[in-house]
Amino acid sequence: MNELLVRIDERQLKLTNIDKVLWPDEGLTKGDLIRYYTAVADRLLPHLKGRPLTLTRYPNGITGTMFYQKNLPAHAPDWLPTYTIGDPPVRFLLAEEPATLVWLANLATIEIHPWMSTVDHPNNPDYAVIDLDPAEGTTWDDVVQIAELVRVLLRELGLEGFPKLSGASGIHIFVPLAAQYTFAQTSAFVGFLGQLLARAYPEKATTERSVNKRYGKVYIDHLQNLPGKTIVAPYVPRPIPGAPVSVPVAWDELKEVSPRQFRLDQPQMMLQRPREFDTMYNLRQSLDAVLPLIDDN
Amino acid sequence: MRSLWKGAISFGLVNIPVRMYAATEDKSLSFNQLHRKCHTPIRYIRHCPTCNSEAPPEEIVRGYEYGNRGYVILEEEDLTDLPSPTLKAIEIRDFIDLAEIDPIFYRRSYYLEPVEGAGKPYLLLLQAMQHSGKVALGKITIRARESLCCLRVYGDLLSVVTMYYPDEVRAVESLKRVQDRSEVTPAELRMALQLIENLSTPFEPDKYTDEYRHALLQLIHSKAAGHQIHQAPSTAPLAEDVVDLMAALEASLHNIEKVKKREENREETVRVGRATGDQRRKD
Repeated sequence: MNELLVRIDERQLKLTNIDKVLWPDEGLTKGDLIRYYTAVADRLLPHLKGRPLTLTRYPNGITGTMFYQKNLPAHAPDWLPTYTIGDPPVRFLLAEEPATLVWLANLATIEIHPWMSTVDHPNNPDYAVIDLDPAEGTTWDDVVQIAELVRVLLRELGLEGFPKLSGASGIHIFVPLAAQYTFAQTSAFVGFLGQLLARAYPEKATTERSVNKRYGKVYIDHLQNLPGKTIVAPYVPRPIPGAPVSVPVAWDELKEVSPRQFRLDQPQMMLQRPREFDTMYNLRQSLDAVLPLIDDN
Repeated sequence: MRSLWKGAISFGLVNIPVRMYAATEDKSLSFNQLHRKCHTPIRYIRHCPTCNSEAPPEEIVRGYEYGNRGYVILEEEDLTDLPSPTLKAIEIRDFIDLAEIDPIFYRRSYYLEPVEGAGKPYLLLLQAMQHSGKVALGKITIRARESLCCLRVYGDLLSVVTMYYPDEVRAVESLKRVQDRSEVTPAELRMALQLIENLSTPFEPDKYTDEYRHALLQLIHSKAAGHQIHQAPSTAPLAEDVVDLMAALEASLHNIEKVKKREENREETVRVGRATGDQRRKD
């Protein structure tokens, strides 16, 4: 029988088909995904708390058809907290406890994308993301160098940013904020940083929307900050060969790590990651000094 | 992939909601036209010769040249009332054999993905088409334009190809043909057949690449590596505070370059050191 009844805290869950292979090259199964999410739950949950979730599901593994899920299916257990918003209304899942992660993994949910705002202030993100997306023809050193420049810019602006590996080939830099700005403002803020970088270092940094004009450059994507856009949470695995995970890194580590170094089959590695990223939400930074600069530019 | 379209396949009484994605992309390179003197991208101006002024978008209307009697003006409101029967739907009319369609009719291919909840009817149509070996002919509307289309199975997905209407395929009557069939001898035909036989292989699309594009890209990269990148002067002046930020960035970039240089130098010194050491041992 390929079915397993498990108990997580006070929840009872039925796991099905746990031998289903999700990453065929590595032979990693749904069981491995469930194990992974259970192991990193304490690290991951703080990043999901109070945030409506978009899920990417791969019922036939990473090479099969995938779909995005925002609306929670009717058959979902009734202990799962949800948040309904929009017209037509969409019932988003909220993840508050490890059992939710296990339930999600059992549905072959590989990626979890939380909103950048919480249900307390759905229209006011409490962080901005600077998404560094290297195009073809760039090296890891290029991405790290652009990340270093972002760090310089943030420091000049009196802001602190926290980098994480995207798990694919880029770096996501989170800038925690007081939940008092709009998505349009956070997006304009990151757009502004992107323009400065592209201007200072046009050989390697670009804000060019068209993919085929980005060759050899790192794209600074500010549009990820628009409402409804989401970025993969830290400690979340990616649906690509190697089963890499998006993980927080310290600024000084960037040079030494490789972009897909942390993998699903080593959950203990996640537990040893620096803690700064996990507690960054306490830092409610202000954009008041930066926003006036943007209109002038 | 970003979906272009969300609609439904309508097949008898069944409606299958799907998302449509472009199946192919054109990878040819595009260039900007720059002013040779300053390398600024050229801007096109819509100029009206009668008024001798630039015409802003709100002053531009659509005109259809009607014989030589002048133009019929079409406003946006005129177009909204036109019938568009297959509004965001792929309407299946007939099932036929794929081989019956000449490739000349094909325009563009799209993938269809089942929308959540449409899994079962999607799979049903897919499997029925797989079993029958037939493809469906129908109509689809993309960007307000209705066109003929063929729905077929591609791997484990449904795909749709837009097609030209028969009156869009140009007639061939006016083209020249070879009149005298005796010009080809049976021996020549046998030889040609033999040659075809020898060159026959299975279709492996990966074998073929766009060599022109590759060569062009290489040229661009080598020019870029030789620092022949031309920056258009930026059009907007920078505010004071922004200049400070730029200075910080530039200083930081400068530092990175210095560190790199220093590292390179160090490597060189090490290499030189070793060479001398070797020499000494030889001595």
